Amino acid sequence: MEEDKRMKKYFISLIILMAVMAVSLVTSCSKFDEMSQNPYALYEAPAEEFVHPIMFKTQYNLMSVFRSTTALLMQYGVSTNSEVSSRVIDNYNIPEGTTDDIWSALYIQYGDAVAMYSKAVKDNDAAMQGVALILKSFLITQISDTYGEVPFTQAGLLSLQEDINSYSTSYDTQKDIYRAVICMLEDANELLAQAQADGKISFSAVCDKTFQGSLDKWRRFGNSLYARVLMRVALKVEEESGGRLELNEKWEVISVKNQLSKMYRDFQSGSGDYPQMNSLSDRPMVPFSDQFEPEHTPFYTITSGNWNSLAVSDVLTRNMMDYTTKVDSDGITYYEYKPGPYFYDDTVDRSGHVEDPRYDCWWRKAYGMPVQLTNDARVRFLDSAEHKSKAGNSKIGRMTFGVDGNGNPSPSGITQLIFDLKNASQYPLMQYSELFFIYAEAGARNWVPEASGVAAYLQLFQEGVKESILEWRSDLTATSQWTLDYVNYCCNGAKYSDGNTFNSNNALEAILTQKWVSQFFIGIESWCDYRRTGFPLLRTDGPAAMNNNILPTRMRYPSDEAYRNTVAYPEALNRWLGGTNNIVTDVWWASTEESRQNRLLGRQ
Amino acid sequence: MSKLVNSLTLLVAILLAMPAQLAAHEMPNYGAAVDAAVSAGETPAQRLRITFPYGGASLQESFGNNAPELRSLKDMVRQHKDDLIMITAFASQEGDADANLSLTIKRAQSVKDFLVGQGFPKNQIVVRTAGEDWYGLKQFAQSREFEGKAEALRVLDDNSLSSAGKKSALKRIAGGRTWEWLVSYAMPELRSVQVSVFSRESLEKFLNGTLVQTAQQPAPQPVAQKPAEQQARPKEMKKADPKPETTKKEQPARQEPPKLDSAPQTPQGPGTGIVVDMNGDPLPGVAVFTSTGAGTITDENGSYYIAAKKGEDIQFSCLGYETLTIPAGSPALKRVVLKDDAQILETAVVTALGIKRDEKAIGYSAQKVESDKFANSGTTGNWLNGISGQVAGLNIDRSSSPGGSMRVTVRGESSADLENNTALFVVDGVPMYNTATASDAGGEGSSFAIDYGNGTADIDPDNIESVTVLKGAAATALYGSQAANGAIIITTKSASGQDGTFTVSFKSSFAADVLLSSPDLQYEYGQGSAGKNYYYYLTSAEGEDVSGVNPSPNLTTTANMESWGPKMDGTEYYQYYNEALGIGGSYDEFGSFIREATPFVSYGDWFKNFFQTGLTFSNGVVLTGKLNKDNSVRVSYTNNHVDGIIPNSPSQTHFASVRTSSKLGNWLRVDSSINYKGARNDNIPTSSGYGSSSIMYSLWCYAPNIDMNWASNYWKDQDAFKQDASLTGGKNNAYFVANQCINNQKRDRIYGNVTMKADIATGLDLTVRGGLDITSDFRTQRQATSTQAKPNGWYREQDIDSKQFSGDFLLKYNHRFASADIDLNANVGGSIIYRTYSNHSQTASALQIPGVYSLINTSHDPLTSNNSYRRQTNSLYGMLSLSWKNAVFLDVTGRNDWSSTLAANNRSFFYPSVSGSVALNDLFEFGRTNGLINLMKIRASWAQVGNDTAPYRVQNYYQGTGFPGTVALPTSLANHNLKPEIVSSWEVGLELKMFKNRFSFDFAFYDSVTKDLISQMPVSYANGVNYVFVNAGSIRNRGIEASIGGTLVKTRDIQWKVGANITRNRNTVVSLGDGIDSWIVAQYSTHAYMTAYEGGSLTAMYGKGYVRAPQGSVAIDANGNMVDVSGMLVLDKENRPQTTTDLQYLGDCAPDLKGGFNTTFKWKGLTAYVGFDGQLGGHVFSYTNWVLNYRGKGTATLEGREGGLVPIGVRETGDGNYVINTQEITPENIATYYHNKYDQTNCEANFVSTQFLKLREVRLEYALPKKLLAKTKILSQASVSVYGNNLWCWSSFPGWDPEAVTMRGSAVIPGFEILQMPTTAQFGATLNLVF
Repeated sequence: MEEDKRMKKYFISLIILMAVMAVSLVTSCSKFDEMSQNPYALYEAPAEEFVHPIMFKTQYNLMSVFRSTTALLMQYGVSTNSEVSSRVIDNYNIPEGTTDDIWSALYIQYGDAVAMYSKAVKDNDAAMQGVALILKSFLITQISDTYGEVPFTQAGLLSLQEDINSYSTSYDTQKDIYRAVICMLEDANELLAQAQADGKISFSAVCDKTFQGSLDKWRRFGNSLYARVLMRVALKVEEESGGRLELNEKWEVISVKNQLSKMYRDFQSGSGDYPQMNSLSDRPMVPFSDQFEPEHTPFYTITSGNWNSLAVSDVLTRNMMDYTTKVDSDGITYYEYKPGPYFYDDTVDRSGHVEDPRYDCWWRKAYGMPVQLTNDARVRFLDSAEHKSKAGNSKIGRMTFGVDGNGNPSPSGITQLIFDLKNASQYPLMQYSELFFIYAEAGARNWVPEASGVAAYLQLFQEGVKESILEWRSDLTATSQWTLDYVNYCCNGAKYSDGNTFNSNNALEAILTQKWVSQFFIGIESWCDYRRTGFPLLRTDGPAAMNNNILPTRMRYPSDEAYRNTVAYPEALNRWLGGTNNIVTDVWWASTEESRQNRLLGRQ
Repeated sequence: MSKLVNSLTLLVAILLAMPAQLAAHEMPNYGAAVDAAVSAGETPAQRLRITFPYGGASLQESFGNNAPELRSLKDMVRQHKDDLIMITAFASQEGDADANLSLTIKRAQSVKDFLVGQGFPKNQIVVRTAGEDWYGLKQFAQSREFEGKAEALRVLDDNSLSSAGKKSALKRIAGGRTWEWLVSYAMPELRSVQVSVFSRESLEKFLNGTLVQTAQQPAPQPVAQKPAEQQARPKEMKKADPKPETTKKEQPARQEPPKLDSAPQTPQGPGTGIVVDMNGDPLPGVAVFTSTGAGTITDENGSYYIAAKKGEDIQFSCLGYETLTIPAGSPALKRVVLKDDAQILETAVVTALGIKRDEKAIGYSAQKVESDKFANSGTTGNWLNGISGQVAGLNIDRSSSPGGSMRVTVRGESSADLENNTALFVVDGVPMYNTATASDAGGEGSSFAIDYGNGTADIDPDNIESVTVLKGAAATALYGSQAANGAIIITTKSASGQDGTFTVSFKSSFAADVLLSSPDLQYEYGQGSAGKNYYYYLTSAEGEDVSGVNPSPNLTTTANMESWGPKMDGTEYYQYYNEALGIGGSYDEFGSFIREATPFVSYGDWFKNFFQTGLTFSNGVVLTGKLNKDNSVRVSYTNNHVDGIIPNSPSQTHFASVRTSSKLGNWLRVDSSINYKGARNDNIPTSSGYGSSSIMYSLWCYAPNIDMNWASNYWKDQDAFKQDASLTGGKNNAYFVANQCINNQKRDRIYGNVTMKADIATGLDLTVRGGLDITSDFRTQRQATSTQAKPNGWYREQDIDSKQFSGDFLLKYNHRFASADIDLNANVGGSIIYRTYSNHSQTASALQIPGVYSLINTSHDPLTSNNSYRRQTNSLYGMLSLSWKNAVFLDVTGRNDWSSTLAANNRSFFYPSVSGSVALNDLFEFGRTNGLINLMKIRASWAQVGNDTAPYRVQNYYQGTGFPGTVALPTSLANHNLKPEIVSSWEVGLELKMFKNRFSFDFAFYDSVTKDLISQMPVSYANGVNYVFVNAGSIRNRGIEASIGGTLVKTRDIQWKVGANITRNRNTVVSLGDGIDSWIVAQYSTHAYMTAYEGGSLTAMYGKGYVRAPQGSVAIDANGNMVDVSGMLVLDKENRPQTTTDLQYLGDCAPDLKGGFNTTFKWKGLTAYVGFDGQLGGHVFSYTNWVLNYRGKGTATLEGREGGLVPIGVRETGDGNYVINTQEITPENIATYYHNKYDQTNCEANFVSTQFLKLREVRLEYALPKKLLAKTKILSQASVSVYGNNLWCWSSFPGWDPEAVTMRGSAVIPGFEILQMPTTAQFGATLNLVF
């Protein structure tokens, strides 16, 4: 009993002690502050650490968008898939939600670019400010080019705000966006020049697997993008305000033509105020790997079934090799192709012609499928006697290619070169050849005095085709016979819509058609050129075509934007889309008379 | 004399009827004679007493004073060979009254056995078992001085109290010390058997007298004194009556047999008559007492005679029947009808913090589920299966994987974050820390995941004593933020309640899972793509004509995931071939394998052929030991072995637990419980979901023209580790996934707690508890080389650990203001809960050597992914409970939490609750005594509960990206102003128990509003992030719950009970914050959205629908009449239905009404149980429906395959007008027609009802009779049962199971059914033995 009571006393004292401790724990929250920090997160990081993830994810999505959307829209290929609600893109019956990727993926990257820029400003880091501005410019133009008017001035700011009061992001007109982009690119050029002048040549290669941190290459990329941007708006600005575009207080007003001329000179010299890409090695090549999960290409998991569901279209094949026109038993026009002596397939006639060396990288058969067939016709076409043998067994076309043991191109799938797109080790965000096509067009339009003679822009055109071949075929050189033969074919063999080979009258069509071919796997670029110029001439009124036979002029805003941005979204719809999230309203830079006329030409 | 005394001495068990009757043959009704003699005050010739240890019933010679007593007994037997021996067995008051009664039967039996063993004639022994010795206790109490004596005597004299009522009243005195004193000093004396000898001669007169009187009686009918008043207000009368016995301090010592205080005399108001049951059959062996202690029992004809004075009460009691009290002289005495005892009133309910409360004292809804409901759960993988349909207001969403995750919500979705809406599980007072970690199978995780189960399955169903569901905020206010969505309080079994010293029980179950149901699959047309009228199989990789293998014509393969192929009418086609297996061809004379065309026929149900019968073996053993009255221990072990229905998916689970209860000194008690669960899953296949790694994704590519034996040969080139995926049109071979893409798991969880309870001072006690919950989970995942998702192979190892340390204290103070009839309980407590979680994984994203799964075998640096968190919640809380007259109750609580997950300025938050109840039947007497109303309680409560959030949501940070040395913004932005969300709710309810508890009814209406919802609000991507954490909006849940239960039939042998419950919850989004009128709660791709709109429901579903003609549209029909075509489908150029581009409201995924019904039928040892449950309303976006119809697998796609069809609808003419379609879809185009009709993105086309009624459970159990078992000497209980779970489902749902939604990430998200697994019916059998 006594023992019991003593124990009880101890126990009670112990409890009181514990209670005191507990109360002190409860009232002191310093431990809580420590506890509220995520151990696997960084609360501070230099701006440069944002670069590679933005580059990679942007490129990943653009590649993916090319295959799912641009390839079909721009008639590089035709869907033969029966699983997914197929052929919606080819036939312009595009429901809301199918083309959200650029918006939902690229805006996230844009947010990171904004955060990066803000950090660079805070750190007074000119180089990183420049890089961030280039990234911002690239991203916002891709987004705006896809959807038209999009949030820009209020975009990406949420992470910078101390107190969040509004989640609404208002939309900007595309013109304003482009004006701002030009200013950002001017600033970037200046900042990067400044940084280099101050002795900063590069930043961490770990953070930039594309350019290994080279500021020179970043500056060249930024200015190349500038050239693209100028060309994008040039026609519209010409039509709207005689080529003059008001910028901001700092950059005042530019003349697009003058600016292009100035940049052309620097392009030719390889230096100057606006140094641009000067060789293939200046291309922004974003690395991929089939061995490391974060670096897989978007096609890594694709199966042969999915892969083969995209067949080469006859529009593309006709632009890459000779053909003769035929009509099959069903009354459908088709083409018998005449590849050249280099073509791997010796079961077809290969005499006296030359086919595009790039064709072998992309497609397996000298074959092309008509676009916008009804389902009925599509099935009959694929099963018809004329095409079954061409098609082999379901392998109508494929975008993979390999070489055999002797280094010769082979369809057997032995992959030793980078041709195997699925497992490619790198993809370009922008092609070097694009600059040649840009300036060739500027020359043909008589905007750039130095390139305004036929000879000059023909030269640029040929350079463009040649560089594009070299971009795809690392086994060829500028002096390879095949290269020379094909470049020659483009100028003197291939016929354009007027029935003639390259001349000053069809130069724009020729240049933009070849530019279209060269933009294979480059995001949405060829679609932008088509909307801007109406080239290449595409048939948009096939039997299954919807959307009033208009090749979509923009993509629908994402289906969930109405939920996510409840105030600004309806405003934007009403402001420039007539209240409906349609795919027929031209974006600002595409709404030119020339473009509309040319687009109609495609409906032969 | 008090009835107490009577109940002591003469409470008779049914068992007694037999010896009494046997005796009657040779010595007519000695039992009656003895009783008469005793009641007449006859002194036995000799008497002695055997004592027993606590809970013990076997005769122990060495115990207490037994040695000399037993020696005397032997002498007695020799001396009184011709006389009668009466054995009266007693028990102390510890534990349950029923258990005590059965204990006394055992005690009596062992003494009787001893006597018979000594050669005493069996038929000269009269046995009386008295159960708890209240008389003895009172005697003892009167004779001693101790704390709280007066109060204790008052309780002991209060005849209105039941045994349980007295016990709880006694326990309340002086903070329990009085009770402890009685237990220590009085009760050892009470555990005894008294043996009395009556001489035969002296009995004769009583014998004759009784018989004569009984025979003579048509009972005299003395006029009763105010019988009507007594009937009407018996209780009040009792209270008002100055109890004569309280003055009778000179009561004879307990050793004296009870007798009248005056000498036997001619009764003034003799009671005599017959006792019958409800059916009018005489009841023998009923104990009859007067309030002075005289007593007798009814004979075999149910007749009795008893002498009673006016003003006395006569009580009739018999085991299995209700006890009835009738005033002496009442005419009712002539024919006394005893009603069956209804189910014992479950008075104690475990409420928050483990505080046990009287059911009538709580002002909120708390529903208890007894352990028998979990009888089948041992083989179903999760004990929650047992709770399905039992509790109003409870909703369970389950993943379709066998033994998979379950999501429990109580009273609707209270927050926009669906993962935050689940109920808290509390085991023995300590909250469980249930984490769920998703493991995507490599990149496709959003639409499917491997279901590793969640923590809810970590409780061994065989260990569950009871489960209480605390529903509203008032019920859980003391648990705080974790329980904002309700709490499920689990009490595990312990040894302390049992009788006997040591038992071993063994339970063994076996169950088989079979596929009973099937979607409406078509077995007429085989695989093939649209428009092909032949079938042709070619391995997908090679088109080249290998000599002899590829027949001519060399067609394109039509082996395809869709089923638009030709009719399976036996036409010969080139089908699957395999030289090694000799399928699809034969050898020619040169020994070359030549393919042959074979008949194209159906091989039946590919699903059933793929799945195997699931087998579950469950074996468990439980040891319980009650070492002494202060110390007990229970140890259990259960092992489950499961072979799932998917081939190659075996798993083992081990459950072990130890529970101890010890008393250290008189004021300190220590209880502990430790539970272990080990899971060893050899393979958890990625079963459901839409993604190439999922088994269901693969299975939906097959068709009946495939013999699944062909597919089961899944290697194309085993040496190169290449699967044969050709029968699925290039998708993974389902057998390959099951056998090569193996996900295994080793999971160990230990949780438990130690609780100390100390009496500190009078009315004051303290509970201190420490708890621990540790889970360690090691997982490996394989994607074999050549799978679609990971063609180069893939391997991941993942270590997931979680720990919870918790400590809490509760100081309770009790004081009774006797004068005011007020009872006050004050509780003050505090707790600290600290949790850590970590997840470290390493992934080889490509394998160097195919088929070797090791991180060393990676072809690149392994990819690592790490995340972890720590969080802590400190709390202080208090509760004040007041009761008045034990009939009016009021609780007030308050709690303050400090949470580490919130920003510093919002870290501390307080919330109060108030609840009350009134037991009207106790306040106003309306007929309790006649058994009409046993409880009529109204209750009301109002409460707030604060709810914090997950860690790391208040401070922005940069996250890693997978690329070394780089960062990115997280997809959800933090918000440093985040404050706790507050649930405010009120509730009113009515509870009714009637007809001696044979009927019960409970009704609740509640209204709960959650405001300042913490949600991951989707914002425009243009903000650079997908989501922002915000406090925005409020959600209301309002509903009614009703349950009803009844015992329809109850006789000694037959009992038939029914129970039913019904729930309706209505969810409304009250507001969503400034400028926000909707947000997406959940979505599946862009196909279907669960979107909250202001004024709508949180679980409203939106999606695209069919393009329909607008209101007012007209068309000209074939006869030239104008026809209204509003709402008709608008067909496209090719006459196919079209899908809108905009979203529309399609319906709600939450049901309108949910309910359950169950019935139990008992006949002797046989028990049958049948349970149904179901719901009205409710919808889901079903991918199974899509795949059935889009791919031509379902019967709905048969129309038009031959001869085509004319789609009903209109077409636009281009000028805004419509024509009714008359154009035909040809058979060639039928596939694309159905493709459009069941478009993947058309939510309307795939939005299906989940209304259902399920035969949830059928169970038949047979318990072997105790008599039989007694012969075995070692077995004390034995039962066998057979059962079935999920036996049938009535539903229009197109898939397998309208309830089984699919795991999404780590959560089970309602509203989206993404290729569910078939769910099975389970048939099982259990053997249960107790030694």
